Amino acid sequence: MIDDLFIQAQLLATIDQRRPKQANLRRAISAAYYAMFHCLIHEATSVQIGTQHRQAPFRRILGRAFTHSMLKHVCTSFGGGALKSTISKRLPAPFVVPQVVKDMSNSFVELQEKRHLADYDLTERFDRSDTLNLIDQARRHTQAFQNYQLSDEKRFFLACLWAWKELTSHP
Amino acid sequence: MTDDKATLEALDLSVLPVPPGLHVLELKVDDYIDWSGEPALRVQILLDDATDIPGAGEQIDELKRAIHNQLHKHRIPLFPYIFLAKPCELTEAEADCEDSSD
Repeated sequence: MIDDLFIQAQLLATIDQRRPKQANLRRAISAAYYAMFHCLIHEATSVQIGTQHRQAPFRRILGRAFTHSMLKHVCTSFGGGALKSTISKRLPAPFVVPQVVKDMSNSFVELQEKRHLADYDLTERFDRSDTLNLIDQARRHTQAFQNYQLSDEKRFFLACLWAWKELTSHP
Repeated sequence: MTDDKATLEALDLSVLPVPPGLHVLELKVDDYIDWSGEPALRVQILLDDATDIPGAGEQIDELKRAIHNQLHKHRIPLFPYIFLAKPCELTEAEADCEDSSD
Protein backbone atom coordinates (compact mmCIF):
# COMPACT_ATOMS: atom_id res chain seq x y z
CA MET A 1 0.00 0.00 0.00
CA ILE A 2 2.90 2.40 0.72
CA ASP A 3 4.16 2.14 -2.87
CA ASP A 4 0.63 2.49 -4.23
CA LEU A 5 0.10 5.70 -2.28
CA PHE A 6 3.31 7.18 -3.70
CA ILE A 7 2.27 6.16 -7.23
CA GLN A 8 -1.14 7.75 -6.65
CA ALA A 9 0.48 10.94 -5.35
CA GLN A 10 2.75 11.20 -8.40
CA LEU A 11 -0.14 10.54 -10.76
CA LEU A 12 -2.31 13.24 -9.20
CA ALA A 13 0.52 15.79 -9.18
CA THR A 14 1.22 15.31 -12.88
CA ILE A 15 -2.24 14.49 -14.26
CA ASP A 16 -2.94 18.07 -15.43
CA GLN A 17 -0.74 18.92 -18.39
CA ARG A 18 -0.81 22.69 -17.92
CA ARG A 19 -2.00 24.55 -14.84
CA PRO A 20 -2.53 21.92 -12.13
CA LYS A 21 -5.88 21.74 -10.37
CA GLN A 22 -5.62 22.54 -6.68
CA ALA A 23 -7.78 19.53 -5.85
CA ASN A 24 -5.27 17.20 -7.51
CA LEU A 25 -2.24 18.76 -5.78
CA ARG A 26 -4.03 18.63 -2.42
CA ARG A 27 -4.93 14.95 -2.78
CA ALA A 28 -1.37 14.21 -3.97
CA ILE A 29 0.09 15.72 -0.80
CA SER A 30 -2.37 13.81 1.33
CA ALA A 31 -1.52 10.50 -0.39
CA ALA A 32 2.22 11.07 0.07
CA TYR A 33 1.69 11.88 3.75
CA TYR A 34 -0.27 8.69 4.34
CA ALA A 35 2.45 6.67 2.63
CA MET A 36 4.95 7.96 5.22
CA PHE A 37 2.46 7.59 8.08
CA HIS A 38 1.77 3.94 7.23
CA CYS A 39 5.47 3.26 6.69
CA LEU A 40 6.33 4.43 10.21
CA ILE A 41 3.52 2.36 11.70
CA HIS A 42 4.49 -0.70 9.66
CA GLU A 43 8.12 -0.44 10.73
CA ALA A 44 7.25 0.07 14.39
CA THR A 45 4.74 -2.77 14.55
CA SER A 46 7.05 -5.09 12.57
CA VAL A 47 9.80 -4.69 15.15
CA GLN A 48 7.27 -5.43 17.89
CA ILE A 49 5.32 -8.29 16.28
CA GLY A 50 7.34 -9.56 13.35
CA THR A 51 7.16 -9.27 9.59
CA GLN A 52 5.47 -12.58 8.71
CA HIS A 53 2.28 -12.46 6.64
CA ARG A 54 0.41 -14.43 9.34
CA GLN A 55 1.32 -11.71 11.84
CA ALA A 56 -0.34 -8.95 9.80
CA PRO A 57 -3.61 -8.91 11.82
CA PHE A 58 -1.61 -8.21 15.01
CA ARG A 59 0.33 -5.44 13.32
CA ARG A 60 -2.84 -3.86 11.96
CA ILE A 61 -4.59 -3.85 15.33
CA LEU A 62 -1.56 -2.35 17.06
CA GLY A 63 -1.27 0.19 14.27
CA ARG A 64 -4.52 1.73 15.47
CA ALA A 65 -2.71 2.93 18.60
CA PHE A 66 -0.59 5.55 16.80
CA THR A 67 -1.69 9.16 16.59
CA HIS A 68 -0.63 11.88 14.19
CA SER A 69 0.32 14.23 17.01
CA MET A 70 2.45 11.66 18.84
CA LEU A 71 4.36 10.83 15.66
CA LYS A 72 4.91 14.55 15.12
CA HIS A 73 6.36 15.02 18.61
CA VAL A 74 8.78 12.11 18.21
CA CYS A 75 9.81 13.13 14.69
CA THR A 76 10.34 16.76 15.70
CA SER A 77 12.72 15.64 18.45
CA PHE A 78 14.65 13.10 16.38
CA GLY A 79 14.67 15.36 13.31
CA GLY A 80 16.35 18.09 15.33
CA GLY A 81 18.94 15.56 16.45
CA ALA A 82 18.73 16.69 20.07
CA LEU A 83 16.60 14.62 22.40
CA LYS A 84 15.51 15.94 25.78
CA SER A 85 18.41 15.78 28.21
CA THR A 86 16.37 13.54 30.56
CA ILE A 87 16.38 10.96 27.76
CA SER A 88 19.72 11.54 26.08
CA LYS A 89 21.76 11.55 29.31
CA ARG A 90 20.75 7.95 29.98
CA LEU A 91 21.70 6.75 26.50
CA PRO A 92 25.15 5.38 25.64
CA ALA A 93 27.40 8.29 24.72
CA PRO A 94 27.77 9.58 22.14
CA PHE A 95 24.20 8.94 21.00
CA VAL A 96 23.80 10.28 17.49
CA VAL A 97 20.57 10.19 15.54
CA PRO A 98 21.40 8.62 12.15
CA GLN A 99 20.96 11.00 9.19
CA VAL A 100 18.48 8.58 7.65
CA VAL A 101 16.25 8.88 10.75
CA LYS A 102 16.64 12.67 10.77
CA ASP A 103 15.66 12.91 7.11
CA MET A 104 12.65 10.64 7.59
CA SER A 105 11.57 12.60 10.67
CA ASN A 106 11.89 16.06 9.14
CA SER A 107 10.15 15.00 5.94
CA PHE A 108 7.32 13.52 7.97
CA VAL A 109 6.80 16.68 10.07
CA GLU A 110 6.89 18.90 6.98
CA LEU A 111 4.48 16.68 5.06
CA GLN A 112 2.11 16.38 8.02
CA GLU A 113 1.77 20.16 8.20
CA LYS A 114 1.23 20.46 4.45
CA ARG A 115 -1.27 17.61 4.47
CA HIS A 116 -3.19 19.50 7.15
CA LEU A 117 -3.19 22.65 5.02
CA ALA A 118 -4.10 20.64 1.92
CA ASP A 119 -7.06 18.97 3.58
CA TYR A 120 -8.44 21.85 5.66
CA ASP A 121 -7.16 25.27 4.58
CA LEU A 122 -8.64 26.62 1.37
CA THR A 123 -6.73 29.91 1.74
CA GLU A 124 -3.49 28.02 1.05
CA ARG A 125 -2.44 27.64 -2.57
CA PHE A 126 -0.20 24.76 -3.62
CA ASP A 127 2.40 24.88 -6.37
CA ARG A 128 3.39 21.91 -8.50
CA SER A 129 7.10 22.44 -7.74
CA ASP A 130 6.61 22.09 -4.02
CA THR A 131 4.22 19.17 -4.41
CA LEU A 132 6.56 17.24 -6.72
CA ASN A 133 9.50 17.89 -4.42
CA LEU A 134 7.49 16.72 -1.40
CA ILE A 135 6.52 13.47 -3.10
CA ASP A 136 10.04 12.81 -4.37
CA GLN A 137 11.59 13.67 -1.00
CA ALA A 138 9.08 11.54 0.91
CA ARG A 139 9.61 8.56 -1.38
CA ARG A 140 13.41 8.70 -1.23
CA HIS A 141 13.53 9.19 2.53
CA THR A 142 10.98 6.44 3.13
CA GLN A 143 12.93 3.98 0.98
CA ALA A 144 16.20 4.88 2.68
CA PHE A 145 14.57 4.44 6.08
CA GLN A 146 13.08 1.06 5.17
CA ASN A 147 16.44 -0.14 3.81
CA TYR A 148 18.44 1.13 6.76
CA GLN A 149 19.80 -1.56 9.05
CA LEU A 150 17.83 -2.25 12.23
CA SER A 151 20.40 -0.60 14.48
CA ASP A 152 19.85 0.20 18.16
CA GLU A 153 19.22 3.82 17.17
CA LYS A 154 16.53 2.87 14.68
CA ARG A 155 14.92 0.45 17.13
CA PHE A 156 14.94 3.15 19.79
CA PHE A 157 13.32 5.67 17.43
CA LEU A 158 10.61 3.16 16.52
CA ALA A 159 10.02 2.30 20.18
CA CYS A 160 9.67 6.00 20.97
CA LEU A 161 6.74 6.16 18.54
CA TRP A 162 4.91 4.02 21.12
CA ALA A 163 6.35 5.24 24.37
CA TRP A 164 7.03 8.95 23.88
CA LYS A 165 4.22 10.33 26.04
CA GLU A 166 5.21 8.32 29.07
CA LEU A 167 8.92 8.69 28.39
CA THR A 168 8.79 12.48 28.24
CA SER A 169 6.46 12.91 31.20
CA HIS A 170 9.15 11.73 33.63
CA PRO A 171 11.46 14.40 35.07
CA MET B 1 8.83 38.57 7.31
CA THR B 2 9.98 37.61 10.81
CA ASP B 3 11.60 40.41 12.79
CA ASP B 4 13.75 38.04 14.85
CA LYS B 5 17.34 39.09 14.15
CA ALA B 6 18.90 35.76 15.07
CA THR B 7 16.60 33.91 12.67
CA LEU B 8 17.26 36.35 9.83
CA GLU B 9 21.01 36.06 10.39
CA ALA B 10 20.89 32.26 10.56
CA LEU B 11 18.97 31.97 7.29
CA ASP B 12 20.61 34.79 5.38
CA LEU B 13 21.17 33.55 1.83
CA SER B 14 24.73 34.89 1.89
CA VAL B 15 25.71 32.54 4.75
CA LEU B 16 23.52 29.57 3.91
CA PRO B 17 25.49 26.86 2.06
CA VAL B 18 23.37 26.63 -1.08
CA PRO B 19 24.42 23.52 -3.05
CA PRO B 20 26.19 24.29 -6.32
CA GLY B 21 23.87 24.17 -9.30
CA LEU B 22 20.78 25.15 -7.33
CA HIS B 23 19.72 28.66 -8.26
CA VAL B 24 17.87 30.26 -5.33
CA LEU B 25 16.38 33.63 -6.26
CA GLU B 26 14.91 34.51 -2.88
CA LEU B 27 14.45 33.13 0.62
CA LYS B 28 11.77 34.61 2.86
CA VAL B 29 11.14 33.69 6.50
CA ASP B 30 7.89 34.31 8.34
CA ASP B 31 6.78 33.52 11.86
CA TYR B 32 4.28 30.68 11.75
CA ILE B 33 2.03 28.59 13.96
CA ASP B 34 1.61 24.99 12.83
CA TRP B 35 -1.57 22.90 12.95
CA SER B 36 -0.87 21.74 16.49
CA GLY B 37 -0.42 25.31 17.78
CA GLU B 38 3.39 25.14 18.00
CA PRO B 39 5.33 28.28 17.06
CA ALA B 40 7.39 27.56 13.93
CA LEU B 41 8.85 29.23 10.85
CA ARG B 42 7.55 29.35 7.32
CA VAL B 43 10.43 29.50 4.84
CA GLN B 44 9.53 30.37 1.26
CA ILE B 45 12.23 29.55 -1.30
CA LEU B 46 11.96 30.92 -4.80
CA LEU B 47 13.84 28.75 -7.32
CA ASP B 48 14.77 29.64 -10.85
CA ASP B 49 12.12 28.73 -13.43
CA ALA B 50 14.59 26.39 -15.16
CA THR B 51 15.05 24.18 -12.06
CA ASP B 52 14.25 20.54 -12.75
CA ILE B 53 12.54 19.69 -9.46
CA PRO B 54 12.79 15.88 -9.53
CA GLY B 55 16.35 16.10 -10.89
CA ALA B 56 17.39 18.53 -8.16
CA GLY B 57 15.98 16.40 -5.34
CA GLU B 58 19.32 15.70 -3.63
CA GLN B 59 20.37 19.37 -3.86
CA ILE B 60 17.06 20.52 -2.39
CA ASP B 61 17.55 17.95 0.41
CA GLU B 62 20.95 19.50 1.10
CA LEU B 63 19.48 22.99 1.21
CA LYS B 64 16.71 21.90 3.58
CA ARG B 65 19.27 20.16 5.82
CA ALA B 66 21.37 23.33 5.81
CA ILE B 67 18.35 25.35 6.98
CA HIS B 68 17.68 22.88 9.83
CA ASN B 69 21.38 22.86 10.78
CA GLN B 70 21.68 26.64 10.76
CA LEU B 71 18.70 27.00 13.10
CA HIS B 72 20.11 24.27 15.34
CA LYS B 73 23.52 25.97 15.36
CA HIS B 74 21.94 29.26 16.39
CA ARG B 75 19.84 27.50 19.07
CA ILE B 76 16.56 28.50 17.45
CA PRO B 77 14.13 25.75 18.48
CA LEU B 78 11.57 26.35 15.74
CA PHE B 79 10.70 23.88 13.01
CA PRO B 80 11.16 25.37 9.52
CA TYR B 81 8.29 24.49 7.20
CA ILE B 82 9.89 24.97 3.80
CA PHE B 83 7.83 25.85 0.72
CA LEU B 84 9.28 25.92 -2.79
CA ALA B 85 7.99 27.88 -5.75
CA LYS B 86 9.11 29.23 -9.09
CA PRO B 87 8.38 32.74 -10.40
CA CYS B 88 6.18 31.32 -13.18
CA GLU B 89 3.99 29.65 -10.54
CA LEU B 90 3.56 32.89 -8.65
CA THR B 91 2.41 34.52 -11.89
CA GLU B 92 -0.09 31.68 -12.31
CA ALA B 93 -1.31 32.31 -8.77
CA GLU B 94 -1.94 35.95 -9.56
CA ALA B 95 -3.83 34.93 -12.68
CA ASP B 96 -5.91 32.52 -10.58
CA CYS B 97 -6.74 35.34 -8.17
CA GLU B 98 -7.80 37.57 -11.06
CA ASP B 99 -9.90 34.73 -12.50
CA SER B 100 -11.67 34.14 -9.20
CA SER B 101 -12.47 37.84 -8.78
CA ASP B 102 -14.38 37.87 -12.08
